[in-house]
Amino acid sequence: MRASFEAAFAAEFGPLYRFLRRRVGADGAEDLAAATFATAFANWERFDGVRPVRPWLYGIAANLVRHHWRDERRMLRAYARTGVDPVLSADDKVVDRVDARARRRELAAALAELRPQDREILLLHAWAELSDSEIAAALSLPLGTVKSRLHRTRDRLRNRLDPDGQSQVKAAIGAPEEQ
Amino acid sequence: MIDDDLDLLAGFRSEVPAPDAETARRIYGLATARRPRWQVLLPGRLSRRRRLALAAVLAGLVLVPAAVAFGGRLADWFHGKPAPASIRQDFVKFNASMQQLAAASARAGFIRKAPEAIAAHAHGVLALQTADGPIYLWAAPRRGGGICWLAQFAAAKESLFTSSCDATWPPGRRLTFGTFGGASYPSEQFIFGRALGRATNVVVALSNGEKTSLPVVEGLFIGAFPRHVHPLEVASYNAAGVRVSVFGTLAGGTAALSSAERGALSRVSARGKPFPLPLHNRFVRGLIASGYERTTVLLATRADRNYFRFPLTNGRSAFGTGRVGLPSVVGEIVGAGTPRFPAVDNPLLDMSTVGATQDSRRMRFLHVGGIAADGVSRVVVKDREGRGLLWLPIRDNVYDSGTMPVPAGAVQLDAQDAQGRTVAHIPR
Repeated sequence: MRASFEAAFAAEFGPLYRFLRRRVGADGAEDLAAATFATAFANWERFDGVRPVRPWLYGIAANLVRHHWRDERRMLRAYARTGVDPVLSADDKVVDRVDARARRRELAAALAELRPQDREILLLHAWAELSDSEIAAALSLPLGTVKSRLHRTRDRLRNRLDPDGQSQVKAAIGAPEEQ
Repeated sequence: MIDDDLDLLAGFRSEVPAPDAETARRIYGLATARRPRWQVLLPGRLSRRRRLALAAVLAGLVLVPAAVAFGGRLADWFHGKPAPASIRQDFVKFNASMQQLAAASARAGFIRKAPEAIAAHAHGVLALQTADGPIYLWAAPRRGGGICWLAQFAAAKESLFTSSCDATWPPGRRLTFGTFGGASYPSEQFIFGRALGRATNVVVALSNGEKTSLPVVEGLFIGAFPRHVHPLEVASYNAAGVRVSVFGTLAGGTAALSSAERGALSRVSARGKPFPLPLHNRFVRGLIASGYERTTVLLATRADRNYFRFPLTNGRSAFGTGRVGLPSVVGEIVGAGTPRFPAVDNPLLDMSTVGATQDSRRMRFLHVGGIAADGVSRVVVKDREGRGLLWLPIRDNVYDSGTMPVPAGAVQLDAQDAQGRTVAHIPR
């Protein structure tokens, strides 16, 4: 049975907002979350209630985030260069270990270098915690494509984070922004 | 360990705090607020190219000149006031529609690029008290530079807006403006626009001999004027009183024309052929329900396009175009409201297709076509420097580039009369 829009909003807003804020920062997250739920609200009656809501919402959000991939990459690179996370405000209390922070800078650099759609798939998996089949539904991709791209992207990420891959990461941090 | 990378990624996300209840409430309000009126401007039945053209028009605020007279009705208190949730939601929905249009244009092989307002920073710019109620002009920064704006007719029964953003095309225009009016605010006409180049005020000369000055705030201005007059000239000035930009329909104003010439620019006399509308079509039924006659007039067919005059039950006419064989007959309609067509200050109803291709990323005319008043003899397609590229004759009040490829640099049109004088310019 179809959930009400209110129930879907209550269940999905928090995780979706955090997912978007992690990716595009606070201002962009508010706009994109509002646009995502506005689109969902406008199409709620047409939405097939048998399908799960989550992949559908994240599919809408992914379409919107696609227009921000340069902003996202710029923020990841800024984090990699400075160690200051641009998506967190001064009020956000973060307790962290220094070694973990250093690893995240490397990770940010590695994420910045991924192709936008590979990054999308990886982050839907790791941050939105969607299953492979939910990602396939969200992005309208064949399941096999999602599995193979996820596998390949994680391989690439691991290679970059591997000590042998440090030179590549440093090169990525220092790379100029593409126009 | 095999999941190290995922653990690290998950930790990355866990730093982001959960949204508070106020944010959730605000965004729920944004998502579920009423549907803004401007969405009806983007009917799904428009073809992709037409939608792209409409997007370009919306993005460029290419409307028609007019004028203003107020009397101190602009409110200073409004400037900088944070926009309420409903207005921010309208900006968000405007963004969503622009992105839909951009996606449609991308599927058609054009550039995928949409203006985007940063809705979170929307704020008030000008408030104008009119005889029918207030008009609020809101603005928000445009991502990548410039601003987007939204005019809200707050006393309208239905939510009524018009919204747009700074355009990347045409570049470098320092004065753009349009007029509007309608059933919701019937007493007056309104002008609003954008004056750049450090303009501090805009002076409008009206056909009734009045001149009035409008303040420019954040590059925007707004005003009202009687419905029975039309503007002769709109000029912007900087703080030193130096003219920044000027727009006149014709050098010396349309008053320079003889009454016969003015009459010829105010009528479309091609008789055309009766063309019954297909009543089984839902879109057509919608037209008839909103005051269109059941039989339209086919003015001309050029290549694969039909051009129509649509008699309305109130005695006026609308005009439109559509590809031959289109089930709904018409893909684009320009209504009979303001700006009035045909009129001496608006003798050209241009329905050209504007876009950019992957080969040439600059916006330009891809196809040129429209309806011209009797007094227009030809339409000249020009490049950025004003060089003529294509000369289109008017037959049966219609001009159309047909199957001829429009040259790559085509970015403006001049409508010329029989003496070779420019009587209208696109973009205005």
